[in-house]
Amino acid sequence: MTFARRPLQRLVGDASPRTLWLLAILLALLLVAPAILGKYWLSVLILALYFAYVGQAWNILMGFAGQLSLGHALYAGLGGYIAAGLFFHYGIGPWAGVFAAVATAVLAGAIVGYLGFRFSLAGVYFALLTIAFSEFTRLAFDHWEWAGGAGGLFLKVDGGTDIVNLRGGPLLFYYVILALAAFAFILCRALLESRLGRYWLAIREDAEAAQAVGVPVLRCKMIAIVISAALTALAGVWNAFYYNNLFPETAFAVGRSIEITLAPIIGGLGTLFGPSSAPSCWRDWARPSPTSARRSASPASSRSSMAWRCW
Amino acid sequence: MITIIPVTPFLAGEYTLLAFVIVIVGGLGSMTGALMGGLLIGVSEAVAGLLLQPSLKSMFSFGLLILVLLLRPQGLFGKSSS
Repeated sequence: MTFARRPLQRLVGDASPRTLWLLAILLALLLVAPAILGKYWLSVLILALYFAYVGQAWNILMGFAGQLSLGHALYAGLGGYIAAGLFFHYGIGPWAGVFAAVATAVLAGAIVGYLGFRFSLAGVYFALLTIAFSEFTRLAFDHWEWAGGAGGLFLKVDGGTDIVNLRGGPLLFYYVILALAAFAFILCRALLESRLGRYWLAIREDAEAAQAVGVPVLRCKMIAIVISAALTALAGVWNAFYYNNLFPETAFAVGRSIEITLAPIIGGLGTLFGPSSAPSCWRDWARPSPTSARRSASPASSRSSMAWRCW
Repeated sequence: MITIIPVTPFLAGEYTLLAFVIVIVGGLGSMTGALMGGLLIGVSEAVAGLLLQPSLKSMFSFGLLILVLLLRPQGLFGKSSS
C-alpha cells in the first residue's frame, strides 16, 4: 500500500504525455469555464461535475472492488444531514462539520460493509442489503425532529458570499466541486496503482481465488466501502449546501442511489475516465421549463430543473 | 390486492424490498422460512403500526432484517452453509 520512492512517477504510470497534456488542457478549460459560460451552462456543468465526483466515489466500490451498492444515497444523505444539521442548530460551519459528516458516513459504511461482507453476501443480495439500510435511514430521518423530520431541513439563504460557512453563489460551488472531482480522480488513480488497488481487482474478478492466494478479502472490501462512503459523504455535504434544502424522501431515495450509479455504468465500470466523462453526455441538455414535471427518461431532468429554479 | 389497498405504479420498490426482507429473515431457499418470515414481518409491522406510528412500521421490518443478519445470518429457517 505504500508508494514507491517517486510517488508522482508511480501516479503517472504508463500514461502517455499526450494524455497528460489533454488532462491539463481539460483542467485549464474547466478552471476558466465560468468566465465564458452563462449562468445556465454553469449550472449544468456543476451538476455534471457533481455526478462525475459521486460516480468516481461509487466506482471505487463497484468498479474496483466489485461490490454492487445501490444504497449510496445513504452516505450522501447522512453526510448532508449531519453537516447541515450542525450548521443549522449550532452554527458549526461545514468545513468543520464535514469531519462529523464523513465520520458518520464511514461508520454507516463500516456497519453495512461488515454485515454484508462478513458472510460474503455478494451481488444482488448485497445490493438489496444496501437498499434496505438506506430505506431504514430514510424512515428514521422522517421521524427525527432534530433533522427536521419529513418537513425537511432548510438552510438560510441571505445572498452573501461567505466562504467560511460555504455560503455563496454557484461560482463558489463550482470551484469546490471541481476541486473535489479532480481530487477524486487523482485519488482513484493512486488507489488503482497501489497494492490495495490490485487486491481489489483480484477480488472483483474472483473473490475465492483472491482469498486462496492470500489477499485479505474482508479487510480490502471494508477499506473500499469506507473510502467510497467517505467520498460520497463529501458530495452529500456539498449537495446540501448547494441546494439549501434536505428532505428524507429525496436525500435517501432509491432513485438518488440509482443516479449515482448511472455515470460509472455508462462511462465504463472500473475505469477512471468513465465516471468523469459520462455525466456530460447523458445530461438532459434541454432548458427545462418551470412547469416541467417530466421524470421519465432521465432522472436528472428533474434535478436540472431544480437547479434552474435556484437561480 | 386492489380490493384492500390502493394500487399505484410506484408500489414496485416497496414490495420488492418487503419480499427481500421476508426471504432473508426466513432464510434463503427455505419455503417454510419464507412463509414464517412473511407471517412474522406482516404481524410485527401491523403491531408496530398500532403501538408506534403507522409510518414507522417499515422501519421495524428493516430493523428486524438487520437484527437477523447480526444474530443469525442464514435466516431463521435457513441452513448454515459453512
